[in-house]
Amino acid sequence: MTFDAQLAFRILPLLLRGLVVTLEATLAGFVFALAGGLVLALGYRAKSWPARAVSRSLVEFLRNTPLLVQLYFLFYGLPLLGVRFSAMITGVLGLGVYYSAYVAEVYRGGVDAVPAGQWDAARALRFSRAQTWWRIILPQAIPPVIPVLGNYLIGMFKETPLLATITIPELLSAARQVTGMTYRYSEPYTMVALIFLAASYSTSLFFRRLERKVGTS
Amino acid sequence: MTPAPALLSFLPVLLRGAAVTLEVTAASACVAFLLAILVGVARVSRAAALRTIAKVYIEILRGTSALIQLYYLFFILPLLGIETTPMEAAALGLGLTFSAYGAEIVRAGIQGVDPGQWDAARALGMPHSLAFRRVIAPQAFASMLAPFGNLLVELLKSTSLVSLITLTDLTFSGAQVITSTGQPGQTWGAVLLLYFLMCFPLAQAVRSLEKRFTVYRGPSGASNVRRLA
Amino acid sequence: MGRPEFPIIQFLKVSKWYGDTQILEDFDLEVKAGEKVAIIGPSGSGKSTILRLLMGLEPYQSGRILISGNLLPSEKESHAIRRRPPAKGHEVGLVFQHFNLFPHMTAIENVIEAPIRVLKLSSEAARRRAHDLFEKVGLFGRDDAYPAQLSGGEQQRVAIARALAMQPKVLLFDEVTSALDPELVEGVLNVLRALAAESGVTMLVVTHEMAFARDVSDRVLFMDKGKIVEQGPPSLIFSAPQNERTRSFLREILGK
Repeated sequence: MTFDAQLAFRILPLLLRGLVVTLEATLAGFVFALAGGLVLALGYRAKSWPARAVSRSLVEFLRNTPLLVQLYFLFYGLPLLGVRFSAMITGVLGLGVYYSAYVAEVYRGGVDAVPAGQWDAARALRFSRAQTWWRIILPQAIPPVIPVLGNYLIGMFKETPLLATITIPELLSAARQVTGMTYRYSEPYTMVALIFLAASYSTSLFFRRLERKVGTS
Repeated sequence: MTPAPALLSFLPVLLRGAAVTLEVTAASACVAFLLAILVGVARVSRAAALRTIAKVYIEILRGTSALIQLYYLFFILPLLGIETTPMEAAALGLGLTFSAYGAEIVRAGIQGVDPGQWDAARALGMPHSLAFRRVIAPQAFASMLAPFGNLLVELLKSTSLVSLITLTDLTFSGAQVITSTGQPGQTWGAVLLLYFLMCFPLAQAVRSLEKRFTVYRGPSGASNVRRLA
Repeated sequence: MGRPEFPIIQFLKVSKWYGDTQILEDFDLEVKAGEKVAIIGPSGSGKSTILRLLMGLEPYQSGRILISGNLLPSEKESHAIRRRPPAKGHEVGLVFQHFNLFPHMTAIENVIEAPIRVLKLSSEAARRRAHDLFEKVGLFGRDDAYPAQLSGGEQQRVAIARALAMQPKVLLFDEVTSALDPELVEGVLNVLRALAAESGVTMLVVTHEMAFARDVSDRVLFMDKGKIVEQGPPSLIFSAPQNERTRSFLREILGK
C-alpha cells in the first residue's frame, strides 16, 4: 500500500470545506455550552429545591451517557415531537447541551474557589443576589478557569466527527466522501488526522500559554 | 407516547449489546492502563530521550479524535497486511487514545508528590530507584485512583463509537432494535438509560474510593501542625 | 575515626548560585568531630542551603566540600560522572522543618524503612533500634499511628528517630521547631538538648531559638547574605557580639 501524496494534496480543498463546517459547529456548540453551563451552575445553587434537583440530575444524566447516543436521540426523536430542526442545529444543540454539563462543573469549581468572605462582604454591603453574582463573584470565578474551558473547547472540536453520523457535512464526512469516490483510505484519513492534530495542538499551546499567564496573577 | 410492549420484548437484544460494551471497555481499559503507566513513567524519567518520546506519544494521541483513530485502525491496518477483528481494533484504538490521557494522570500523580518526600528519602541514603519504589510511587498511586476512575467512565461512554466499526455494542443494538420497532425516540431513550445505569454506579464508586484514600492520608504530611494537641 | 582534631566537615571557598542569585560566596567552614554548632541569621542568609549542600540535595558550583575527608562532587564534576552525588545517608542525617515523614507508612515503618532497605538490617534488628530511639525521643505507644494522626511535636520526634536510625556521624537540623505550635516547641528542643549532651555526634543546628542555641552549642555562627559575619562561643556571641550586624539581629530577635 502506498501513500499517494499527489492525491492527498488534491483532496485538501474538499477536506478544508468540511473543516469549515467543523469549526462552525464547534464554535456554535461552545457558545451554547458556555451559556447552558451557566444556567446549570446557577441552578445548582438555586434557592428553590426543585430547581436544584433538576439541575443536578440533568448534569449527572448528561455526564453519564454517551454524546453519540444523545445526538441520535435528538436527531431521530425531536421530529416525533413535531420539532423540525436542521441537522446542523440538532448537532450544535447536542454538542452544546452535552458540554454544558461539563462547563457547569467548571463554573462550580471556579465559584467555589472564590473565598467565602466575599459572599459575607457582599451581604454586609447589602448587594442583591443578582448584583453579588454579577459584580463580585463571577468576575473572580471566571478568569482562573478559562484555561480549563479551553481544554473543553478542544475536546468538543475532537468530538465533531460524531456529527457525521447525523448527516452534518463536517471533516470526517468529507473524508468518507473521498473514500467513496476514490476507494483510497490512507490518504483521506491521514490528512484528516493531521488536520486535527495541527488544529488541536496549536490551540492547546495557546491555552497553555494563557494558563501560565493566569497562573502568575 | 406509551412504552410499546414491542420495545420491552427487545430488551434482551439491548442487554446483549450492553455486555459487548462492557467487554470492549474492559479490553481497552487493560491496554490503556498498561500503556499509561509505561508512558507516564517515561514522561518523568531522568533520560531526556524517554521523556521526549513520551511527550510526542501523548501529544499525538491526545491531539486527534478518538473516532478518527478508530477508523484509522479499522480501515488502514488491513491495508498494511495486519488483519484484526473489530474487537481487537476497538480495544487497540480506544486503548491507545485513552492511554495518552492516562499517561498524563500518571505524570501528574508522580509530580504531585511533595518534593520534600524526595529530600527525605535521599537524606536517608536511599538510591533513586528505592525512593521511587517505596516512597513516591505509593503516594502517587493513591492520588491517581480518582482521575483514573473518571477516565474509566469516559472510556465506557466512548465505546459507543465502536458501533461505527461494526461492533454489536449497546449503541449498535439500539440501531438494530429501531429497524424492528420503528420507535427511535423510545429506543434511544432506553439506550441512554442503560448507559446511565452502567456509568452512574461506576462514577459513585470512584467518588467513595477517593474519599477512602484521602482519609488515611489526612492533609499532606507536612502541615499537620495545628490538628491535635 | 583516627585523629579527633581532623575536621569532619570542611567547606573550602564554596560558592553556590541559584539561577542568577548568589546564595553562598566563597564560604569557608570547618567543623570538628563531635562539635555542636548553632547557625543563626535572617532568612535568605543561606543557612538552610549549607545543610542541604551537605546532604547532597543541591549542587554547588565552585569550591570544595569534604565530609570525613571525602569529596562531595560539585555540579560540574557530577555532570561529568553523569550521576548526582550519592546522598551520604549513613554519614550525614537531616531533620527537616516540615518533617517530610512518609504519610503512607506508620511511625515505626517510617523509622525502619531505610535501615532495612539501605543498611540491610534485618526487620527485627531495625525494630529493636526503632524502639530504643522512640524511647530516647520520648515517643510512647504511637508505633502504629500514621503521621496524619500525630501532633506536630510527635511527628518531629519520629523524624528525629528516623534520622538517628541510620546512625549518622553528623546530624543536621533545619529549623526543626519553626513549623510547630508554640506549646510543642520546648518538647522537641529538650530532645535535641539530650542528644547534644549524651552523644558524640557532630551537630549543625539552624535555629531561631536563641536560648536553646546558647545552651547546646560549642560554637555559634551568625550568617547574613551568604557569608559568615561572626562566629565564636555562645558566651561571646550572645553577650558581647563584636559585629554591628550581629548586634542588630540579636536585638530584633530577642527584643520581641
